[in-house]
Amino acid sequence: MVLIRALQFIVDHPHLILPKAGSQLLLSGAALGVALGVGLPIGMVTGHLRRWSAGAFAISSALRALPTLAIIAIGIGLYGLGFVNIMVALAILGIPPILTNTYVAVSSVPAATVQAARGLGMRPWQVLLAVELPNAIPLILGGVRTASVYIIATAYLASFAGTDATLGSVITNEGAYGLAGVIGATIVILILAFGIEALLALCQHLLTPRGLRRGVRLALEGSAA
Amino acid sequence: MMQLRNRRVPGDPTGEMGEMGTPKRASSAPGGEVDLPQSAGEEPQLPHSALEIRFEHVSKVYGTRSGATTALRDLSLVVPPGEICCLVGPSGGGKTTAMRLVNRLIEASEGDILVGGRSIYTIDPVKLRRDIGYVIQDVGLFPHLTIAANIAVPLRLHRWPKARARARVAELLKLVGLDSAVAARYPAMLSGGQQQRVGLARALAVDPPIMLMDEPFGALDPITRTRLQDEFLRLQRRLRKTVIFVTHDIDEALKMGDKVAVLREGGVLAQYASPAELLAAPADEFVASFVGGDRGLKRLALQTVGELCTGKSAAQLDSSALPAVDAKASLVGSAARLLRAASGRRQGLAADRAVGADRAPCQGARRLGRWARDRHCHARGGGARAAARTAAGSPGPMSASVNLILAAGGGSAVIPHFKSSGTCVTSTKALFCWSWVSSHWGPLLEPGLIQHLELTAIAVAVGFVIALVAALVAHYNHWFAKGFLGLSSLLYTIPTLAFFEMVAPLTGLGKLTIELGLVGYTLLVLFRNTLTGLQSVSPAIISSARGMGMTERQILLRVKLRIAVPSIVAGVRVATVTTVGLATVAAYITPLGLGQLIFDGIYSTFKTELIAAGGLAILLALAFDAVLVLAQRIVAPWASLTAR
Repeated sequence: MVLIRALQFIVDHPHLILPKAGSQLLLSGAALGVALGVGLPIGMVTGHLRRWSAGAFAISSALRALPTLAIIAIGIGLYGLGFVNIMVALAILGIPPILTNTYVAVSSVPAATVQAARGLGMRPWQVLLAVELPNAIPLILGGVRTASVYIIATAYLASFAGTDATLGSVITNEGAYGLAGVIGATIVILILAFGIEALLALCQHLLTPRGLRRGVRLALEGSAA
Repeated sequence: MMQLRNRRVPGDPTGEMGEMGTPKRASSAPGGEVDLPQSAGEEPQLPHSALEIRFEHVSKVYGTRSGATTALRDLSLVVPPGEICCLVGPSGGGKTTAMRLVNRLIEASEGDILVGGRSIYTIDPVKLRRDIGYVIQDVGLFPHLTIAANIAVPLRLHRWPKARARARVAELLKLVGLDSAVAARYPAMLSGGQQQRVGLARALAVDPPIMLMDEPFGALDPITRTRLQDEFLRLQRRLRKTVIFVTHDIDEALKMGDKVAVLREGGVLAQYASPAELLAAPADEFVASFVGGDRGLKRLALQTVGELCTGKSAAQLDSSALPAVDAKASLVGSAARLLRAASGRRQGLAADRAVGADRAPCQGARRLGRWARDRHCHARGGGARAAARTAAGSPGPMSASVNLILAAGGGSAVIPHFKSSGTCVTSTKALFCWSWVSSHWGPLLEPGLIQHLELTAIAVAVGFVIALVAALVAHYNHWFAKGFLGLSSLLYTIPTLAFFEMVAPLTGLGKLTIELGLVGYTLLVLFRNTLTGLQSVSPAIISSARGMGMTERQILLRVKLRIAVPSIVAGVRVATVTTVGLATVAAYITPLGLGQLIFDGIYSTFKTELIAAGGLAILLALAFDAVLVLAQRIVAPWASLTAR
């Protein structure tokens, strides 16, 4: 069957698949980094101030509306083919979930908690870093997980942006590699996406403060007894 | 800081203070005279003994777009050191506002507040707050910190050494009657009463001279509330803090307060007196009704027999002086009348205290509004200028060649529609060539935009119908819901193009393949949003609908589906926008829509075509987005409403 031939394709072409998978991960990581660099600060500041939410959401929804291929196309016109082009397109793809989640996470820390923090005499940055951020971590990382899946699954468009290093060069070249090759590459991308997602889920669990974890009551009372 | 000091209203407040039965000179009150070190370099801290709090003609006006609202009007009162002052009144009475002015969580519009004789506006607000205990109704414990860490927060802010802080936490836990075992637990593991004890311990951590308590026991059950009230009073006898205690419960105010300030709507002080005085002689109708018809009975709790019958035994009371009681009068009423007569005090309504003249509070707010508007305009102008600069900047260097492997392989399906011809093409250095665009409006619109629109509309419409049916099934079948969600989120992880290529062998390289692929991608969003919308209808609404006698079918059609509309429209919005994007990629399989122009541009490295087609695709997506946001407002006007 096609699926078996696809797996066969992966096994038969490790020198084709592995480097391309690696560079797809590298590209995705870079794009995710840029998306974090833009989305996190904006989300944190607007969430902390609980103001300009309309602006933050407008940016998010506008960016989400942009077709990735159209960004690549315009990018070719404006700053040419290459790594920067695809990375900008992927970063734009990753910003909305990170920005929205960060804003929602920070702004929905209970008002009483924030008010208590201010009333105790914390400075605004202390409120943000010591109170709002630890409480927002689970939701923020949820956004990062979504963004990472989007980016990894879309990184194949690098082929159209003039970078031949990703698995996209297999997917966009059915003529040369056949359907088995396309499906094989897809399977590898699925593995990458779900692998990274699982890794981030683990990070989410580890970074979530104990007091916020579900089942904390049972676990701790058990250990205390 | 000078500005803050200038806000002080000149004039002698002491005359008014005397009227309210408080000491004429604040400094004559015990502990009122406190020498604050006024060294120039560092901010002097409030000394850790009880301090007097003095409001001097304090007003708070909130400027809103529709005008100004007065939250607090010309409040002047003195809380003597070591006493509890209860602020009580209906909502809108400004009692919480008055309290938060003291630790500057809210800044006063006019007037001054003195703590221990010193204006709080000369102290850095953050440092001020660190020396004021603060307890609120919702406690506001930090959920991510253990109880011990929560209590230690003020100590950490004061940079106490760790060992000393740990000892202090243990001491505080004991003080508020908590077992030392809770120290390692998290707030979520404690009951409401325990949480409030922790809140109290946290507020007392640095032994602040002043405590602000905002309905601290308001969220507790009556038994726990009474117990905590009693314990706090016992603590207070030892600690002697100056406390401002906000409550809407007059009984709590009478019980807790050494003095009670009754505020009415509009933030006007109606009366400031001791509980006994308040009950015996309410200043006006408002206070009388607020204190309650049974105030006579309440007095019974405050007075002792000895106070009542000073000098004479009960038998000596002149029976003729006792009031006649109607046979229909309740026992409570009779007892109250008896008490009034016996205490020999005439109870009359004092003249309504004149309200201080308005000091044109609107003016300041209006000025602030104008300032904000000017700034806003300025910022926008700056943004526009910056954008113009960016646009005028030179484009980046053009990369050498296009990926030719593409053209050799799968790219064979792409038919270059526009042979690069005309004057524009030879000058590849040109970023954008209007003459090409104006001569190619036809193809840009007809196979381009219109076809793209058609692809998107059909895919979303078909996907919508399927998703709606699937969501209705899933609403009643848990397993179907799980399976469908799992399958479609797997689909989202598959690279779009690969998915199209997988469908192609089944349906050929045609429009059908593209539509099938697009429908597949719209399904997840549409299904998930519809299902979430249906399931997020609150059980209370459903059971009340059922109580009205609606059938399950009616509940589904008239209640659940209607309430799910905002969520469904949001799903349509995301699905449509996503489809516009995916349809561009689909052109790689079959030349359709704007995608074919984009790929044509990629192969010919013709920048103008790339920018024109890509720009049109972006405009189309943004237009769909805007239209559906509007639709969301029209179809579900209630969804964007918030309280107030």
